[in-house]
Amino acid sequence: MARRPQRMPRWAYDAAGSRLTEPPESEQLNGWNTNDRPPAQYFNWMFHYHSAWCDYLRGPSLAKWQSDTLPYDTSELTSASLAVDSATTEGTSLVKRNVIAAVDGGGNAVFTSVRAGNATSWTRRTNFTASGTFWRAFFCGPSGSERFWITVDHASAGELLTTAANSAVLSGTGSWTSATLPGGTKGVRAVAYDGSAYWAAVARDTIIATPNASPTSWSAATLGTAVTGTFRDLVWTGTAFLAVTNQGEVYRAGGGSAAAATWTALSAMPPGAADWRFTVGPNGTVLAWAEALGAAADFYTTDDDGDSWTAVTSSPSVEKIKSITFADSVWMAATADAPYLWQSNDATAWTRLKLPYAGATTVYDVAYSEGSWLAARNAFVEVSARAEDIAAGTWAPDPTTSSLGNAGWFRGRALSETAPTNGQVYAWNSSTSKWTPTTVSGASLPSASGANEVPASTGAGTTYSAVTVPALLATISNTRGRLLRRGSSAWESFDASTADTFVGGDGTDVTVRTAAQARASILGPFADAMDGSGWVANTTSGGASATWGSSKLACVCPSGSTASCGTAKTAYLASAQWYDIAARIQVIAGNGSSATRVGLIVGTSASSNVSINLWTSGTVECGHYDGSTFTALAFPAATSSGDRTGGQLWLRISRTPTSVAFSWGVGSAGALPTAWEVIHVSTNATVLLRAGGSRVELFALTTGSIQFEVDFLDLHHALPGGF
Amino acid sequence: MAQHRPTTLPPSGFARALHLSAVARDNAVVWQTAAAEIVESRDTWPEGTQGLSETPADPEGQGWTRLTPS
Repeated sequence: MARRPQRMPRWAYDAAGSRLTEPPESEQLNGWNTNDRPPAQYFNWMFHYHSAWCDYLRGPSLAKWQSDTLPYDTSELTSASLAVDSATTEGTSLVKRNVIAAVDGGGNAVFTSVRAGNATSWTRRTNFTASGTFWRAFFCGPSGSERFWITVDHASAGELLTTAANSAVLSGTGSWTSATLPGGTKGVRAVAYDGSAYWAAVARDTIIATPNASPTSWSAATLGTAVTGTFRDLVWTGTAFLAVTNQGEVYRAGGGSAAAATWTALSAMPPGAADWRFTVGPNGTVLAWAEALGAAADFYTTDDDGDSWTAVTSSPSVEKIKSITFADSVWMAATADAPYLWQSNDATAWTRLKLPYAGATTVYDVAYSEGSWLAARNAFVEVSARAEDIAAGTWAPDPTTSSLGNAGWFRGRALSETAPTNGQVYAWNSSTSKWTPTTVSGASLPSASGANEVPASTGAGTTYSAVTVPALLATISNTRGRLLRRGSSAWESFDASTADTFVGGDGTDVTVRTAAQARASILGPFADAMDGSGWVANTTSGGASATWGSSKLACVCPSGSTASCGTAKTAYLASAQWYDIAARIQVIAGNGSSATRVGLIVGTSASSNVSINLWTSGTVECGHYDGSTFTALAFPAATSSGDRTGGQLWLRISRTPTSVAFSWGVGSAGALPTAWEVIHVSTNATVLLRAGGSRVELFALTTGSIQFEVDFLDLHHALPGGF
Repeated sequence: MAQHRPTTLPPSGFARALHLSAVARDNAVVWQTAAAEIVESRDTWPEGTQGLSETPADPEGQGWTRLTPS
């Protein structure tokens, strides 16, 4: 079942006529073609009437009626006036919503129902003691405190009966109160409410009013000009009270306390005397009409609260009118002659409605109740089919995508209307600016002659042919032993067939590497960057400093006291068991002193290691340290002054799992020496233990006051065989 | 009679140990006095050396601590 709609579409519902244009007959017959651009006015017309019919069809059906029986007493109703409680919401207890103030064979009576549309839903209420005759019923009042009213006509003693909305029984005793009226008030004819503060009512020759707080005690207002006729009706236009007499006199007062003050006489109704009645329409328009007139007569409308009236001629002529009501955006007229009930959109053009026939029976009054129209007759209330409410809730879109039945455009570009033939595709035709069915030329793949072939061309604009991947590669090289690599600008081959060569990178290309190059890459020597990266400075003493810069470590121990400085790096060596490490040093100042030490430390930690150091007096010393005591292993005289200051002196420590060797040598041009002077080899387990680490430290110190400056120029390490 | 004067040692660690080993080889003794002053004591000093004081005959009896290896 389709979901109940949550919105009522409206389109151009109040547009100027020029904005709605009915499409011509030919277009209504055939519809539109691709590329047509119908004017907006056509769409306005279509959408307006489609939505208008939706709104009309969901409204109460004036073609389908049900007859509710009125249980009159003795004989049928001779008058009936409908009032509807349109304010009270249906809740736990049923609302006595519909009231008819009537006169039947038993006299004044009230017929009431909870909801019309049930054949036996009306109940007759009695025990009304008013001496006058029920005239009309009304329902009005402040929001939340609305009341039913029955005006009672009498030559000298009018009454005004009232009860609160949704009263329990609505019988004469217990439910209705006869309001206290000013002395001498004659038959009361009509009641109206100003929407916020005051009720007003017209009696035969007076006007009375009362505020919200005292609905049952009324006071007299003053007529600015004496009335000559008999008041017949009273309405609130939205901005003013308007009252009319049977002589066509029109009186007006403002809302609030002005209703209890002086009413102003306006110009009389243009035709003069008639049994005038008023009905309020849309936007405060008041329709004036003559009751029960058996001849054609104009209606009159005012939009300025009675200052001026405009004649309206009904078509067809609606005569013998008992009541006119405006509700749900339509005018309804109840008449004493067939068709007994009329409907109009504008109070000008009227449509005859078709009530169920129950003889020739007048419709006395018509009202709108809970989406149905009620038409009160002599023994029945005709009830129309009820309007459909719009559903509450949030619109939930269906996420399922739909296909477009027939697209004329693809992404803003038109599709050609030419039908495609078998195998064609849509291709863009820039000369027609349309996607056009096109046969694809040369689009098929070449036939393969074997497995694993791919299409390949021989040049720009040539036809593709099937070739094998090896055949494609052969276009680069077909020589045994060559490898494919990406060169600086193209794929190329290179010879990798030479024995005992290896393929690797040289920093730029993939190339052949000799065994020596491979050994060097794996074993070393690996040169420190000499930029201090990752080295941590030792705590200094005596104002000494160890500074990285210009690809060297410059150590300075100033004169004036003993001094020391240095720097260390952990996890320096690739292997803690097998290594070679050598440092190149150059004495800058303080050469020739036994109070100087400069050297290299390797080991497990700062408190467990081995070392080799140079005295600038020439001695090269090696030893080991346990965290407390340095134990010298050897300290022969060794280097010459030139060795120490020439910048090519290396100090070296080498370790294997079975021995630690300490040596020095002099190289040239910054390269490692080709020959080394070994000053000591230890196979001692303690020495081996302390040398088994990857931490490296460089240091310089003085044991007396001497200006000692020395540079570390290089630091190389390698795996066995790398040096 | 040995004489001594104040000296500065490197921070505790390898450099201090190497310093003490070096001065010991040079026939000097480094003491920490009872007042926690570090002094270097030699039997002979170069001519004109300033700031010398006489080293007690029994420095340990004076509460001194020997720092150089024996």
